[in-house]
Amino acid sequence: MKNEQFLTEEQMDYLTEMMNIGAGNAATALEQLFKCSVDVKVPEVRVVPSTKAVAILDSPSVPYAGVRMDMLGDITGVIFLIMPLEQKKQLMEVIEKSIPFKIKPGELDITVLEEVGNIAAGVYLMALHDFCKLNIVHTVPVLKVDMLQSILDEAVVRESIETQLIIIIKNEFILSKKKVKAAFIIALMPSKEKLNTLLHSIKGATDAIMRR
Amino acid sequence: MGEGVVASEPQIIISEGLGSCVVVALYDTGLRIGGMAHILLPYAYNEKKLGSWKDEKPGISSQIRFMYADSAISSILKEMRRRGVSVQRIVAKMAGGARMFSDYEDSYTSIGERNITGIKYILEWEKIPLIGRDTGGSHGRSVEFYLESGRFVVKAIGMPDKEI
Repeated sequence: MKNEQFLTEEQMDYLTEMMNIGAGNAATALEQLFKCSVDVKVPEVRVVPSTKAVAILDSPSVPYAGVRMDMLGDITGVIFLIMPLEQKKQLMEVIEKSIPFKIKPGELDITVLEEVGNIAAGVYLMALHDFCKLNIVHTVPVLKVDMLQSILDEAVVRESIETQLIIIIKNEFILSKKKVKAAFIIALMPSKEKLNTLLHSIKGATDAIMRR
Repeated sequence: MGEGVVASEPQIIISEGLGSCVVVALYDTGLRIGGMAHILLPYAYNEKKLGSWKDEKPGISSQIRFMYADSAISSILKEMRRRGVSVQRIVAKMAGGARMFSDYEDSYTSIGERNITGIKYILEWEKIPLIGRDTGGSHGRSVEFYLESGRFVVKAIGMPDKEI
């Protein structure tokens, strides 16, 4: 993967470190949601060309749950949280068991997943803020369950066809007491107008760290 | 995404995970030769400011040729003609162009609908009849195009396969 096309190895390392802090904060937030301790692995961060992004993740027609949010502020574009449908089922089972009142299966899916998307987008964008001085907010999350590529393609075409850049963050959490592995992916698609802002900010932040 | 191919029987062309993208398939029932492209946006020539696809100008690189409806359909027609297909015998089918997130796409900006409108216009201009379509809605689709027979099967999660 030509990460170097956009960012050098050092910049990628630093971006990974930023996203690792984000993942740590996500784990803390998810502990509240799942009511158990959550351990987090260092996320895998990749910068990939847009039309190849789906191929890297999975087969295009596999069912996924995807939460879409727009980014506003210093960086515009779209940010997604996606997970395979099987994963979503496992997580919902954990949550449904931890709720003290009776609910119908599937009743909470939309609310919970949109909230997980909300939390995840928030912590990763906050990491970009803390390290790169970028003020980015995200809009109300919307869930869609369908084939992986069909969830992503409109945003890929709208935002990334010319930038040819998507940041993929693969996260793995372990809900320790439940022995459930939770994995989701964040796909960050900066718009053409703000791509240079993003790249320069990451480069600037890396340079500042290297100088110390 | 953004790929296209021309092939002949007994091959099967498959395209999966269509959201706002549209698959357009062209077929010659006589020679059983067909082409299919996974379209992302309607007009390359407009975007790249190269005039109009109607002028048959070259200039769209092979990397992006099948991403846009106009350059994709022109390329497929050119290749089919090269293989001996008579244009009068060509028919078209298309699928896709959904609006997956209605909160983020209205009917004016929806890429899916722009693709559908663009492809219809281009096919009309090329005088190719559109004999089957499964477009719009808010669900993803996968398509199988059987060149032996011209069968065009559209699949969606939670729905029976649809032949158009």
